[in-house]
Amino acid sequence: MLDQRAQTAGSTTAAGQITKIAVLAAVAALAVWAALPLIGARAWWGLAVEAAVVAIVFYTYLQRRSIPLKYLVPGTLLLIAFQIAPVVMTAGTSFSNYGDGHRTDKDGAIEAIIAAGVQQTSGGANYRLAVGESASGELTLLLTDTADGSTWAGTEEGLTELDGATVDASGAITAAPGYTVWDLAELNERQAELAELAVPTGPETGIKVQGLSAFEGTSTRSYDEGCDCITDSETGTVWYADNEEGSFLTEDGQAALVGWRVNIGFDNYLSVITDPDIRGPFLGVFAWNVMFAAGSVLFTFVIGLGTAMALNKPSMRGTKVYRTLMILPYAMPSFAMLLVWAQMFNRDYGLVNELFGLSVNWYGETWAARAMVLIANTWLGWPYMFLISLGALQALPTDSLEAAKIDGATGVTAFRKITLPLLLIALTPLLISSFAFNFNNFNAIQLLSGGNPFPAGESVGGTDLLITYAFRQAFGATTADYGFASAVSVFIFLIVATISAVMFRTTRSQEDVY
Amino acid sequence: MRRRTLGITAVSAAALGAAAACGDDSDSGSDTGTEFSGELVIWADETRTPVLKEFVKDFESTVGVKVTVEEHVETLRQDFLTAAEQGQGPDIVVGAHDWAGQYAAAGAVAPITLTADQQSALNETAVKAFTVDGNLYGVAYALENLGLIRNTALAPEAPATFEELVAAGQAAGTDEVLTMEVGVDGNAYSAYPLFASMGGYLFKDDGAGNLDPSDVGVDSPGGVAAFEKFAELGASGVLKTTFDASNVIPFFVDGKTAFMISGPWALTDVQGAGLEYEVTAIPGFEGQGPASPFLGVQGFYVASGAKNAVFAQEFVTNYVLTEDLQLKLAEAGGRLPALTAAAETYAEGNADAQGFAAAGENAVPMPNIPAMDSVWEPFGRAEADAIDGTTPGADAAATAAQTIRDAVGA
Repeated sequence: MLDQRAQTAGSTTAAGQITKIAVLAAVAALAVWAALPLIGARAWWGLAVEAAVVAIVFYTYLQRRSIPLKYLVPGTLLLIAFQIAPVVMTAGTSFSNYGDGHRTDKDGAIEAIIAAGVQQTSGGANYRLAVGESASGELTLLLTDTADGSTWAGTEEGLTELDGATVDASGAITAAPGYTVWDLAELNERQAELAELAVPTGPETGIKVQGLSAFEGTSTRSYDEGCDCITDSETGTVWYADNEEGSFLTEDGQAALVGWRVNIGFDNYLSVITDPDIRGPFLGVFAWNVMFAAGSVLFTFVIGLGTAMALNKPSMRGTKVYRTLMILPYAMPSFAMLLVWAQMFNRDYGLVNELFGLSVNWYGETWAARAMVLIANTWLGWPYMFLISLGALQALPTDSLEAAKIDGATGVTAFRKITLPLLLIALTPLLISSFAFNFNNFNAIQLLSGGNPFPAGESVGGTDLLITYAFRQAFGATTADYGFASAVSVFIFLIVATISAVMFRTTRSQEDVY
Repeated sequence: MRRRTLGITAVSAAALGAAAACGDDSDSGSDTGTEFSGELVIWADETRTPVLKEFVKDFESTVGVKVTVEEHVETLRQDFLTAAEQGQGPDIVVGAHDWAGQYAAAGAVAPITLTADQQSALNETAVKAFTVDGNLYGVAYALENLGLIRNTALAPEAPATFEELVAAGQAAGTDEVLTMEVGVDGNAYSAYPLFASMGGYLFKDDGAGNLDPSDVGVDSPGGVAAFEKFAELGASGVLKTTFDASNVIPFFVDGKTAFMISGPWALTDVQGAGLEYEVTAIPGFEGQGPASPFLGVQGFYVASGAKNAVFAQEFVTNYVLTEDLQLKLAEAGGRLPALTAAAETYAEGNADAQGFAAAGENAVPMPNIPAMDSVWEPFGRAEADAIDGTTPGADAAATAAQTIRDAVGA
């Protein structure tokens, strides 16, 4: 018996076997392709994760004992990759100060601040650059002064005048006695060595290479590990590293231009909770947010179900044409549609006001704006409800409806007592997910009303959802504060997760009733 | 001793990690018969990419380095930062000057040193625009600013003052007196010329081009006067919050207005409609200062993590500053070159370019300091509120100024 089962499981068709081999081969090829850059970057953790994933996939499809695993593994892997990983990463970011001014690591910040202290020595020479090696193999900058055409050799010891060099039209040295001059191809390949070379011309000055030119520069800033500070010898400014904030600060608290990314614990969460700009309007925004999501689901569902029932009537003619037409709003990209709607609601020139002879300032009055976003969002969303309702209607068992009819139930009663409850069992999970989607429907608000109207001086608008409000708080016009935005996202995630969990629980008890 | 001497190490250290990889490549025999020994990667937006692709060919053949220009639509600014953080960015990125503050603070771009000759060959404001904390971070190639575009059939004379403009716009008998982008959220960029004419300023300039973010001038006497003007112009229907990106140009093209305040990007549509038009300076209010627009500058940034730092620097400091490249980019983009000599050649016999250059004579570079990010939204909202009449001008100015101060922490 066991043997037989194993055989059944294993005795797949030849085509099935070939497909399996092909897919696994593709996975292996993909794995190798992905592994190479990981090895190149010495990302051993990444490599370990990749190896583990590949091993799991191979094990799953080469073993014969556990069939369900074959269905569960791909879904689980994708769930981890596209759902859980982003949430974990967002939560991770929410504990950091990652954002504008804190994007790099500390070494990067030090490098950038020191680099910004390199200035051309006033009156210093400009050079045309060539690079070569002396007979002993020492790397040498071969420089031609652009002012007087004199030629120089620069090594770690400093500059020495170079005689007898041949220069080309641009002034670059092409040959010099005692040196092998690199051509551009060699220079390109070996620029790493060039980057290592520093040619001093004085105690604080040196030759700075920039492209195929060079100039005499002064480096005024230096980093001292002892005091963990950067000193600018010219201005006398000293920036001390604040490793908690991820910034170099002067004594009076002025930050250097570049900071770095550090872990700041719960600071972002604290500022979400304590920021009066966020805490104050939170309840109002939250209430409208729930209203918007619930309203969107209700209107789209009512219209979607109504049209689905109309088209589900056997006596209805031309259903195919209607169906095609109705799917159109759903089939068109919502981005473009929302922008079109935004134009149609223009007070002076918009189609809506002109068509109905109104002069409503759709963007200027809170309830008008709210009606506007609900109208547009309903238009965008109902075809989806229409599709799923139609599907669910066609799957309904006809016997209970017939029984109801025999018992003398009218259309309305039958719908209320039989059709709708049966439909809801199938559709409630979809309605909940639609609610969750609309709860965070960033596009609908951002592209349509942009959160308008804004009372003077207020940072929260009448149609703002938590997500659009958080987006503006975190990103402003262009400045980015990812750490803070992540903290807000985690809050929104918790809210949506709680609401959904409660709803699913209610649904389950509902299922018990029917 | 090696590392002691100069910031060279600092600047080039970023190239080290990448350099190791480069070295490996050459050892393992990347000489597969191509004539190029390396690659230089440039990121640009959709309008510049085709022109650059054409133009880098010269550079390729002179220095023997393959130059790849990659197009990044819409999200270039952010893409570059993200990629640079991952160490996967390009060597060069082409963008607007007001990105400089953000890029420099992220340590994503490297300072550039131009010789005195090179600096003086460039438009002075364009150099200032790319300067952050005393360092130059980008090399400019094109300038753009708002101007007044006039339908000469409807209004033959260029107005000398804004009052004349309004009178001429009304006399033209069109639906609108003028169009200018406002929108429901306001638009600080297009409002700035009128704001400046009334004597308003955003941040105090110390005279050397350094802005003091703690001195906000939105509610200075000039600023308040400007917002009162907005309210007045809104009440008389000259400015409307319903003018937005979707109708400003179409109304002008359809002859519904004689005047439009817009930039060089509008000309393609205007020319396509076959209108008789002229570009002139935006007139200031009578008895007030000039209506100086913001100057936007496009330029080349060198990434601090450039894998091919030597040729990236060579491209940006020498090649970009050739008259030929600047002229070609100007012709493709319809913008004035940043190189003064190229700008003169370009404007010769080009009435549009001359018009925008005249309009930009008093232009100030759009501030590239991070504090500017806190200005756009409150300023725009206050402008919209004043024009809509929901808030009196003085209150709108005060509210905006307060919001900006709170955000800047001044």
